[in-house]
Amino acid sequence: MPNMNDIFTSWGKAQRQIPPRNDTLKSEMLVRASKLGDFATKRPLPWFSFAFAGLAVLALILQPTNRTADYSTTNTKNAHLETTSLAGDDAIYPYYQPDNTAITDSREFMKIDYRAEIRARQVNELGKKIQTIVHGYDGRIDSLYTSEQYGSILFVLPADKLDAFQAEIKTLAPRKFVAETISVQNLLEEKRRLEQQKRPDQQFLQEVATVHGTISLRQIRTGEIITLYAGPYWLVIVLAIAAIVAFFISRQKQALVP
Amino acid sequence: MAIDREGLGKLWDEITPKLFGYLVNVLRDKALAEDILQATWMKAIEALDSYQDRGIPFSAWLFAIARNECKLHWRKSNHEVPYDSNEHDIPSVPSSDSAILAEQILATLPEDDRELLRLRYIADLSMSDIAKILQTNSVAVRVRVHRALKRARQHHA
Repeated sequence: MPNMNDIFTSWGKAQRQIPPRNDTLKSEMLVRASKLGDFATKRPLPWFSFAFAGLAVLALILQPTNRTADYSTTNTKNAHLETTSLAGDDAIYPYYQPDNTAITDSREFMKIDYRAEIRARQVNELGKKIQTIVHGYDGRIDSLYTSEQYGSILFVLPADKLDAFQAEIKTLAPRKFVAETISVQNLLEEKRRLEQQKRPDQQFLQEVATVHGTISLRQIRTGEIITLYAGPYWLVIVLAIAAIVAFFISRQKQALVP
Repeated sequence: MAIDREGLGKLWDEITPKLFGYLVNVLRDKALAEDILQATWMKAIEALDSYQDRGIPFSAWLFAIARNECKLHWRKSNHEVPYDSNEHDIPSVPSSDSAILAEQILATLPEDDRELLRLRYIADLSMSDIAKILQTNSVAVRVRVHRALKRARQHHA
């Protein structure tokens, strides 16, 4: 019995044939395809993309150029300031009052004040963490206030523990959300006065060995987070991204327009 | 969407012999088969945009269009066209014994079976492609092809 599949397979191959006007028909088909291809290249313009790009340029032009500087000054004599602030690297120039101490006396009795402002989502939780950290570095909490939106902590800390304390405070929030100010004052003049009066300087030494600190807490909102990371150009960035997305969407939706 | 002329040319060379052979076998008229062939390709070119969304092989889609064109022609010409030896081609003489046998067997089969065998062996379409053209599932097609071959064997016997 012959295999029907083989029979029909060879039959099917024998039936296939090239039409008599093959070349003509093929050319006509390709010409027609080319004409339709020309229509296909007429893509609709990506109007949304243009609109978003235009808005981005407008936002860039209208961006306010002056930024409010964040200055902190002290009237402390012989003050030397080291600051990292949310406003950037603005220089801080303290008010300097010269004293009568001779230049030959190069002793330094530094009194350190530490101030920080931290922005976070959970102010209450952050306050508790800072309290624990202060205690961990043999410090003392003198005042603690926290609410859902604001917080304030006054504390003292051994001066030799300040660096480690600072490093740990910085791990509590992203760098952009922490602003620190350290003011350092040389109490040499006061020391000389005590020496002249022959008064005991126990309290004076204690003052030098202790850091007085203040940490302010504030709840941060989503808009502030965007502005902190994207800067004042966040709107420009968003509009530029929207323009790019609109462009790619419009390319995908290109239709063959007869 | 840019139309690739070279790709289209290759598709023509690959598919047209099968398509034309199928149409000749269906219509028994080479000139008419050429007209239908041309109409099929033109319609396919114009509807290329919609083809992208269908998800079936291009050849199967082309054969589906060709079948519709044949139906359209028969509807216009009231389908029943009496054979006229002056107008219609004399069926080509089979070139081999197996071809003779196949023609004899096909003549005894119902039209649905003949259509299945044309799509399977002339058009060289897969069962799933045939299923999409006939708007059924591939299992049903497989069963029908098997039964058609069985009937063919029985007739031959």
